Amino acid sequence: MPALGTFTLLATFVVASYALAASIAGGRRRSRALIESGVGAFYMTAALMAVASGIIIHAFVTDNYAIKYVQRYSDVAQPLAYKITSYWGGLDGSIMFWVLLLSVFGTIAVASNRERHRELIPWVVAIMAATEMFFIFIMVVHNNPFDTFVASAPAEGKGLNPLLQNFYMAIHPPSLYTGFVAMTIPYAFGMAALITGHLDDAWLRAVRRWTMIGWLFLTFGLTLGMLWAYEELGWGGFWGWDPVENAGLLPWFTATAFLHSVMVQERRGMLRVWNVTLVITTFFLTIFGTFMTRSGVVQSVHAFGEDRWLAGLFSGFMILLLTFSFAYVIYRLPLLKSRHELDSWFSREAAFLANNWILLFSAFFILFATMFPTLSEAVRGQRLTVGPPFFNQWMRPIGLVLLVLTGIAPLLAWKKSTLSNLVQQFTWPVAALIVTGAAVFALGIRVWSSGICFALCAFVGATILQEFIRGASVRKGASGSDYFTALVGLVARQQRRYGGYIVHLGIVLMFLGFAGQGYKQEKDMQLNPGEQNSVAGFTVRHDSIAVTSDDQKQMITGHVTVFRNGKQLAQMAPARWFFAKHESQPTTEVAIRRAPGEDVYIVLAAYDIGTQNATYAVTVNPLVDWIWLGFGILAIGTGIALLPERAFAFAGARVPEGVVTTSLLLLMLLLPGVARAQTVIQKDALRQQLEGDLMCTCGGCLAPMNNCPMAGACHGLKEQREKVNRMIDQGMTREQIKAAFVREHGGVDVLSAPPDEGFNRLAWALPYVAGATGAALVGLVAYRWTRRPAMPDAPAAAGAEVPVEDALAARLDDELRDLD
Amino acid sequence: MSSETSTSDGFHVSHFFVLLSLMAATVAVVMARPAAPEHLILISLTVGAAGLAALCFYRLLAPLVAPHVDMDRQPLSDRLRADLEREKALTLRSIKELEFDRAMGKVSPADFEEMTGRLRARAIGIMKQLDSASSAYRAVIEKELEQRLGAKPAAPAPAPAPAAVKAAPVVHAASAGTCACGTVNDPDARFCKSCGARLQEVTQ
Repeated sequence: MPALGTFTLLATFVVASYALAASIAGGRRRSRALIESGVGAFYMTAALMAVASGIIIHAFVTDNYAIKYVQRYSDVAQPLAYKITSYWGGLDGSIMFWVLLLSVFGTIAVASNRERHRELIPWVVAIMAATEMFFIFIMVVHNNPFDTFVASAPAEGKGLNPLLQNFYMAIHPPSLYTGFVAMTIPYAFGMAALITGHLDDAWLRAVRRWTMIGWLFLTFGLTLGMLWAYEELGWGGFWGWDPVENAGLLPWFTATAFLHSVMVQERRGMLRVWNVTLVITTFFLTIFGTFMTRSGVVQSVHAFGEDRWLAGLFSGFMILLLTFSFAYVIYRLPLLKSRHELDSWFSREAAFLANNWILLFSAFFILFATMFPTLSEAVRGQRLTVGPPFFNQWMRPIGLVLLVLTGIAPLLAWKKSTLSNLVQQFTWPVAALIVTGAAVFALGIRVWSSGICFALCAFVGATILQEFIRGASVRKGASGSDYFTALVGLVARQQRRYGGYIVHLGIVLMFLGFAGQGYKQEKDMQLNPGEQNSVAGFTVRHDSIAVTSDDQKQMITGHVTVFRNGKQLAQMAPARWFFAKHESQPTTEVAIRRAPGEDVYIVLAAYDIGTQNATYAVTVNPLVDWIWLGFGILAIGTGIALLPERAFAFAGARVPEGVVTTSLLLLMLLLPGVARAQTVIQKDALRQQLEGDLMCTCGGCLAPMNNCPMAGACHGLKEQREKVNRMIDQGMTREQIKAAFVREHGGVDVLSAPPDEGFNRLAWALPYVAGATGAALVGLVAYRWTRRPAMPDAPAAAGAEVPVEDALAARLDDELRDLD
Repeated sequence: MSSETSTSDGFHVSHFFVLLSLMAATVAVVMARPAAPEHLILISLTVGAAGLAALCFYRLLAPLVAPHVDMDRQPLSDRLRADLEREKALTLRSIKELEFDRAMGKVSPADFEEMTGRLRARAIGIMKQLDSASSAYRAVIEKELEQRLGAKPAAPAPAPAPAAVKAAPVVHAASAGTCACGTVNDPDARFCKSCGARLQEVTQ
């Protein structure tokens, strides 16, 4: 079997190279036979990858430990579902899975666009085949998942990491990969349009649709990742700014930017170069994200480990990709000239420009902050850490600005908003903003970022509501139906626009959830059976500790009862599971009681089976479920926007509803730790600050002390906490304690954010510089547009044509009248 | 699957490969028999994928031995036609959307005129393409008939040579964006997307 697998991979490589060669030759010689043959070859790669995947899954299911990869990620006791998902649990398999997804998606894209974009197809196939070849090449020469043991095979497998044996983890990577892979398709179409010079707006439609599908999966994958972190890691938060999480976020930002700026191109014929650039950048970032995760250039809990050879190969591919793509952009610049100019700063176009600038800045900032430790090590040989505090400090205001734009942009008119326009559109949303802001202020909400966020959510909510209400009344007037019918018709007829507004609504809900993190409360309780303790109005009573076991693991479960105002709310059972062969890494099974207002989140931090004494870390997490709900809404909105064009509408639309999950979206913002710094934790303020400042030194978790994903089971955290407490008791200041840790640890990487001095100042200064430069560039471009004399020929030609084609124009009018 | 692979009695090449995979899967399952059901399902699926690969291989080879067809000289297929119809519907929809925007107070009347002008020109372009396409289709049929009957018609068909996307018959360039080579471009395009010629000379 393994030999057959390796052979299939080789065959795929050969077929993919044939697809590449036949398509290029066919495209250049305009030979239909060659093009068709290339398309057939491309379909064949998908079928062959399916065969290879079948072989490896079969090996997993039948416990064929002769294959190294299977032996490493599976064992006999694993449930069937996790044996199958082990396929993408490791580096080699994940690359193979990547190629499978790419070939399948590519096949769907080619099959559905073959007639519509006949000119582009050979080049689309060539680009995708080349990308596939790169990944297959890696597998064939370096990371072959079918590698076997030379001598005798071990009798037992090592088993999948227990942290990954979780429902969300089983579907999170495929979803994220799907998002990444789907971004290859817009790139392939974009490059095909550049190569052939068919740069009118037609190619955009295929690209927009696939970007949306990719975007939805990316959002879904990121949300699942958050949900996994929240449920499985047990530190009460959901986003830790880990490099691998960031890798998924980068293309998400650029894809979001593209989905917005593409509207400007469709409506106004502007931003052409920019849109092509965004498509290329998004694809580049997906490759870059893969590179970051797999080459070990950054330190992360879930990176696959260092691999210089792979890093070199990826770097080469990325350089080639950038050179090739941008060379074509430059070559085609004359065809990409904008046909219109910016008329006013108070216009939809200008708002989109601002939105793009901020999204791009976010992507750049995260990229920079993620790579800074690597950069610092290369330049100065000093390893340091850029942790959540640094990200949060930046992303909080950026997220709020984005939220403002979400509210403003839909209210502005295309081309130019007049004063009366503005008054008419802004009255109600601004009123909502002021009322909510005043209410929040009157209630004495202490956390500024959360307070502002609440007010802005009201603003955006009012904007969306107003759009729906006004739209429905316009439609009601036009169609003479009743209000409700008009509302349904409105959404059904203009899926893209109203689907988009629904997506915005989902984002508002997520922001509510992020803002709620500002009011999180945590408390550690050490209890004997029957004792109780309270946090944030909830009383927790410890009942007992039980020890049970099954084939795979031993389970220690704490039984607690939760009361509120004397009334019993729930029986909860936080646990720790010790998987066989992974005893040193017990998993944390968090008990969560979900409610719209707040979650009660209980972790069994420590226990003594003899005395039945247990320590629980109890967190009350306000509004967190709104994030998951927000994703549901967002997915429905995306589904609606995708729906019109038959064939794969279902692909995007189904995912959403069933899943109670969420996304990340805006996660950026107020994330996890966001609030952590200001949280009303019942701990000494200095100790709390220090827990955010200092990294956990256990060497495994790479997180600040208050963020340690292994809290409870972490073997160094407890001692470190005691040491910090001792230092505080000795009267040392925050700076002194930090200095002491740096001295003792021998490097500043023990701090969660680089100290603001010397070379590190770059980390703090560069985002400012980049932000300002970006703003200046956007301003300059906009200024030039406003100055450019209108091209007389375009509108005139369009206007002049109508009278000439009288008959057709009359027919057009008829058809428009008939159209609902 | 394109039509050249089907034969007159309705048997499709893909049927052959489906049959082949079914037989191969049966053999594989019988040979692997003392095994859990999920193994057998996996084996069958894998064999099915292999059958698919074989079908694709056929698709790879078939065009190479088929009679040569220049990609520019194919009549408008039904699918392309459907796509053009869709394109037209989308353009009409955009015009409607714009009217809606005007009603919502999101576009000023002057801007509205200019923007609809562009869209209307585009819609008219597509309608022309659709019209010409149906006559081109007729020409192809007539030509085929002519070949089969072996008789020369008294007068050549009035429609131009079979040409679809590329060669709309309206070559007199009355409309903006139509190039001398016959390609219909966006009305405000300045160069032809097919031959690269400057379009202003044509339109003015």
